[in-house]
Amino acid sequence: MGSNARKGSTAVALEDVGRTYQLAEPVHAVDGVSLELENGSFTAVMGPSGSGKSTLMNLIGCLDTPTAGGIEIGGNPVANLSNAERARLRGTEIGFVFQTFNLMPRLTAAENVSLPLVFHDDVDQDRRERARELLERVGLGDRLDHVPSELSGGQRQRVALARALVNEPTLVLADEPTGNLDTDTEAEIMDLLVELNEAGTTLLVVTHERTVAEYADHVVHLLDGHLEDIEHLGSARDVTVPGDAIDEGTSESGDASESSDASEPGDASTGTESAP
Amino acid sequence: MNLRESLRISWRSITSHKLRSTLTTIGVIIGIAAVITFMVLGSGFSASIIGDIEADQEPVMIVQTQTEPEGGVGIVPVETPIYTESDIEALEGQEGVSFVAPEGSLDVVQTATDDEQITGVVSTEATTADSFEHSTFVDGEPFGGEDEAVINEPASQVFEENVSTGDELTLTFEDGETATVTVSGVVEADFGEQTPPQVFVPTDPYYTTTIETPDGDEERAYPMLVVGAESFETVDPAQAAVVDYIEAESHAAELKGDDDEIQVQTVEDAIEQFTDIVDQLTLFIGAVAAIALVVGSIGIANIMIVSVTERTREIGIMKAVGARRRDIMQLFLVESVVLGIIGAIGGVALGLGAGYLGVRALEWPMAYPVDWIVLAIAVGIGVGIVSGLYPAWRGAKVDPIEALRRE
Ligand SMILES: Nc1ncnc2c1ncn2[C@@H]1O[C@H](COP(=O)(O)OP(=O)(O)OP(=O)(O)O)[C@@H](O)[C@H]1O
Ligand SMILES: [Mg+2]
Repeated sequence: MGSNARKGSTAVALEDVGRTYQLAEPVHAVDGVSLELENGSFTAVMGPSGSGKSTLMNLIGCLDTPTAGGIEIGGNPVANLSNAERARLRGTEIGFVFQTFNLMPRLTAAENVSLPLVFHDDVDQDRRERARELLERVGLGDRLDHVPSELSGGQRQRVALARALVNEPTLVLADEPTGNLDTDTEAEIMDLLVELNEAGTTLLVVTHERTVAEYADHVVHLLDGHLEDIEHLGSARDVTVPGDAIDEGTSESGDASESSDASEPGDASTGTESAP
Repeated sequence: MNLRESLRISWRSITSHKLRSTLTTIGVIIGIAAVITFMVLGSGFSASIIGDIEADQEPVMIVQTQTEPEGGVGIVPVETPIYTESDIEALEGQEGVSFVAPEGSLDVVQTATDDEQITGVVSTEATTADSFEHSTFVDGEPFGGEDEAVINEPASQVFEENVSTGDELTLTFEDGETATVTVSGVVEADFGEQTPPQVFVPTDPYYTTTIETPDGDEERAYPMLVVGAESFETVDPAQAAVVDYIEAESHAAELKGDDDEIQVQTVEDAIEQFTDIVDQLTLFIGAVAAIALVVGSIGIANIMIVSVTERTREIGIMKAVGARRRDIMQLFLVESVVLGIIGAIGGVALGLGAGYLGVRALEWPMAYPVDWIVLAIAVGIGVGIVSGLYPAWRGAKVDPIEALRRE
């Protein structure tokens, strides 16, 4: 899979995927989930706490291995990949924003952001410059040399997002990337994600917020590890020719969210059905 | 991941636990310091003693008696006078031998110049003028008569006012008798600065120890002989002849104790014996160092395992953002190798410091054993790799998802 993959081909495909924890009672954290994410699509994942959202993200992000079913990324079955190949995939193709941030406690914000480059970087490019650029984009240009313990929860979350983007991944998996943010910052971060999406990045974003989910093209609803429903939001971007979207993406991202709001009534039937 | 990057990360981890890192490296420091100290002392020793002996090598051999004490360790010299006048005469007739000079200590309790008296310290030896055949005189010449004496350099410097040729010395014997001798010459010391101050007087008339020979005669006998060969070329055949005679026909062979052994040693043999002792010590120090290094390796391995356990979550994060097993492996190996190198450098520094204090106290020349320093650093790297392998492997196989679940 490459960043030039055409929109329309499959970025991620899950085939009856299950993840069972063998405790005294087997826990089916994810159970029989089949799902396809198209290249360049933006999908939100919603569901109550404990419904298996994070587990699903870990499976797609090649961190965890399914106990049933199979996952393909860019058409390649993950199960066939060696350890090193998975590491390469995590480091160069996938950007992961963890629910718990998972920043290195002793590294500064800038060092945390450039960490993925350290492992997959043959040319000695200016990592700090790249980290600064990304931290500025998430509004932390003045916090480059702070270690995580000197940052607020929302700031850490944004560092985690900047780190996920540092390798220019083709697939971004974000587990509640705006969970600790106020509405204004949330909007800024979502605009950034939308911008990336419009440039061709495939997005999978876990959220509890309806406002966040509405930026997406599709919303996947999970309940007790099962896929309850896939809600299709007929967003304006979905029908826009990609070339136009890139030009207008930034200035119109505000409008984009509005237009997805606006288009919601069209899908209201599915939307209300899945709503709890 | 490139090496510079892992160095940077490891260095940060090491310096964030300064005390722990220091304690960890102590085993390696001690092991390497022991070797380096010993090497400094060893080369100082060689330079000052063996070097001196070698420098003025003479075509002479020493005949003396030694024994291995029962139940004891090592070899001790025996001072019994067993080399008789007849033996000396016979030895002088051997092929390649140019002279045989006996040597025996006299019981002199006090040595005095005109204005200073010294008790003890200076030893007085009775010998013949021949024994100075190959000696280097700083001043003057061998004694010519019974009222003359030769002194060595340390003896000339032992008095407040240096004693030189022409000065008079008064020797007081244990039985209260005194003798006044004129210094005829000053010889260079045999063993450099380690040589004790000595005064040499003629055996006639001062040496009076006698023994009953196997033939029933009463003859003068000495505890030691200096045998001179005609030239360096004849040292070996002369030595063989001397050994043959002593073993087959000498009075000494019959007079010596049952467990005693007569040694005919050339200067070369003496050097060899010194070197043997040094080699044995080297082996011993090597063993001590090896034990310290094993303990040091275990220390580093132990602390690296702790470090891996402590940083399991960090390993998980690194893996989650794309670190491969070999990256993690490399990270921890570099850290333990850096610890090993720190230990080696610390050990070299401590060893040189201790060695310096040692040679300064002994007034030997300071030496920098470069080969050993290079070897020490290599050993430090080796210790780091060996002790880091298992912890690094444990770190590399950490399951990222398990690790991230830790709080
Ligand atoms: N290591 C584990 N061992 C046993 N059960 C686990 C383990 N990890 C997760 N689970 C269970 O799997 C289920 C799904 O967990 P998951 O973290 O995916 O939930 P989630 O949807 O992300 O919840 P939240 O919204 O609170 O983050 C939970 O019921 C949880 O108890
Ligand atoms: Mg979760």
